[in-house]
Amino acid sequence: MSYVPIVMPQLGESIAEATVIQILVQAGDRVVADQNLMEVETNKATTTVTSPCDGFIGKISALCHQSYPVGAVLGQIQVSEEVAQSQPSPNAEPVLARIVSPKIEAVVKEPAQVRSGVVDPTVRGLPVPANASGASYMSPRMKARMAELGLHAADLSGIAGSGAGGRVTIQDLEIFLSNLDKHRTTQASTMRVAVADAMRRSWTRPLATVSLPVSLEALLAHRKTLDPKPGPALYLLRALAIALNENSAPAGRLVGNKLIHPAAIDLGFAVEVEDGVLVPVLRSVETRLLKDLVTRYNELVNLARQRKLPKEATGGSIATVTNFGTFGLTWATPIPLPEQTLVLGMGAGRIAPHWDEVQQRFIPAMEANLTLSFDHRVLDGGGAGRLLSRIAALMTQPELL
Amino acid sequence: MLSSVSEVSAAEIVPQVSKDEYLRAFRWLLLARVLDEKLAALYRAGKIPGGGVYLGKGQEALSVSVGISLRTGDVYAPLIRDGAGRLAFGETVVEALRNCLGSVLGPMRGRDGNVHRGRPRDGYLPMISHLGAMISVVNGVLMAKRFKGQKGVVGATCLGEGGTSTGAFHEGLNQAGVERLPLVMVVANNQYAYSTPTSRQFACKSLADRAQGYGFTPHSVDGTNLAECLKVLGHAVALARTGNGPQLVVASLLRLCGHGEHDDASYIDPRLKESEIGRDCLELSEEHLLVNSWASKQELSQWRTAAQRAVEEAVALVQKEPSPDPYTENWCALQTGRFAEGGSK
Repeated sequence: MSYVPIVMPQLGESIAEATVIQILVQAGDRVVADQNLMEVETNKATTTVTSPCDGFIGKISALCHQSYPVGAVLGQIQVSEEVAQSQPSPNAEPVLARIVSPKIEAVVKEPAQVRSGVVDPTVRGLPVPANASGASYMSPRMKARMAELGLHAADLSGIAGSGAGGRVTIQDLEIFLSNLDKHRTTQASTMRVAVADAMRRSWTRPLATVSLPVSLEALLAHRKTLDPKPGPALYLLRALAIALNENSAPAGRLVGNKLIHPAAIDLGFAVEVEDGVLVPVLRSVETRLLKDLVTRYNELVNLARQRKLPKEATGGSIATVTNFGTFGLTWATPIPLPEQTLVLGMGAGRIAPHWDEVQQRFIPAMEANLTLSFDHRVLDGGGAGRLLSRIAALMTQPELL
Repeated sequence: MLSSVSEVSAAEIVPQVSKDEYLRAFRWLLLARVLDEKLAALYRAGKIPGGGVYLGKGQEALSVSVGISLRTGDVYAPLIRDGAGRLAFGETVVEALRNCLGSVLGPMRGRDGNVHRGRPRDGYLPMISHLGAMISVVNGVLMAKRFKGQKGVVGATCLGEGGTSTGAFHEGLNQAGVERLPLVMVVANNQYAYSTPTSRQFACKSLADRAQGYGFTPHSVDGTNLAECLKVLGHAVALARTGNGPQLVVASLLRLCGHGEHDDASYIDPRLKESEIGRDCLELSEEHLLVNSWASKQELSQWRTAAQRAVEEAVALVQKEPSPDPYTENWCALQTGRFAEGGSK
């Protein structure tokens, strides 16, 4: 006795799977060619699966209300040798299987067995194109699967696509995910996920950075005269506020063909907290003198570290100051927050030779790099350079701050 | 002038369809239906790759009348539902099955599903799209024949009523009208463009009314009536052949299947199915044969069995043929010139 498989037909060009809703025969039943064996449902229609030949039902492996991919074996028909001979030759038969090459078939089964703890897709085995490396096509099925797992396109950037035009297929994704299970994984904190989300959104823009060294000698001398002593970042905050008060356009946001000017010079400053960064906000910084801001600034730093920032001190700022010099770094290209055009950075201070025109010799002086990273859609190198030069000039005249 | 009176007088001018003509057309119609039924079954058994099978159930009387009214040297660009017309024009059952089952020996070498096949060398054009794209192609072939000095040639192409709403339809008909080409434009108004009813498709009373605007001669026909279809199509083709310019034939009928076999057609208004338009042209023509004593019930049954046997034998043959091997297949595009009339091998 030979067996001929009952297979799930391709029920439409875009259909990858169908659900069995009724089985019309049982094992041992005699069937004839073209006889309806089961009813199946796609998202477009209800139809039937027919018998490919005369014979007896050997086995029905399909279950009611289960979804099966196109080409899946739903059961088998026991046939005479004569009927078996008349069936398509092994060479002619598996048109679908041959298009999906043996190489792919072999790996398809793997993810189903290895992965656990996540929702299994009902369908495997068909190469469905999806997006990974760029903003190219991503299939609805891929999008649904990624939404199910809470994944973003950026998470898939490490996958080499095997689909048409190098697209990442659902198989590529499943294999990638099953390989991840072999590694030690820890839960990313809410803070980490929030930062990731902000950075992803921010990175959709063309960002650029300009930089300038500035002498800190005057600032350090000025700092000693105050009690409590303001940190260098606060000087920078005030310098930025004054510069933007003179011309706020560089802090504007481009939306369509309109430049949205800032309503108030509310500025944020980055505070490192456990597994992330918080940005407390000082309001209307241009209206308040440096010495009047010190207490509030220190208070907000402490509240941020305790994650107890009051609502009025979060959100709505138009630019941010970050003192990456506290990590010992002298240069960096910070990324502005998604809703901001500018982030002003300051590197670590270090002694550097400064040419003294009067004495005609180098003298040692404390200096630091200022960096201005910006959305290049809003601002060009010239505009950014003029803003940064103005800020640098103010930093050398701390009494104006 | 014939063209100005043809719509009203077609029945009187054209002689009644003879028994022989009717029987010949009926046998093609029956074979087309049996082949379609087999294709539907094969599709639901997962034997047809590519995801789409589009059948002509309910449209065969019209379709066969187009195919049978054309002759060697004519041009035919059928629609997805024109299995009957294709057979009548000269396609074989084996050829059709080779295409649908993906045989490497098929006209498209197993690379295409069921709709884009043809034999351009014989004037049987492979379909680009069923939304009017073929009209200008047929126009082009007819223009080429005109430039070569070939006379007495007709080109026919078919659309559904949905296809008449496209820009390609307008451009194609306008061009054929301006050039006064021997084009027979056949529109099967099967009431649904996929699931869109005619009320959402056109606002004119009859699509035949559009003929005037394009300089076409209009013809309307009951698409369920084989004798009427043979008469009207024969007349329209004869008019085009004898220099009376382009003809527009609009047939009223109902698609008796889904848009494709993946579609259960649950949107079709049951009142349409009960109406005269919803009658099955095969059953009607069988009645016609019996009433006129042109065939007995026994003969009808024998013919069906013979058609089924022919189709089963062809399926058995084609199923044993190999599908294309993607590893050895030559994926380079083919020069269409090779396939065209007069092209070198």
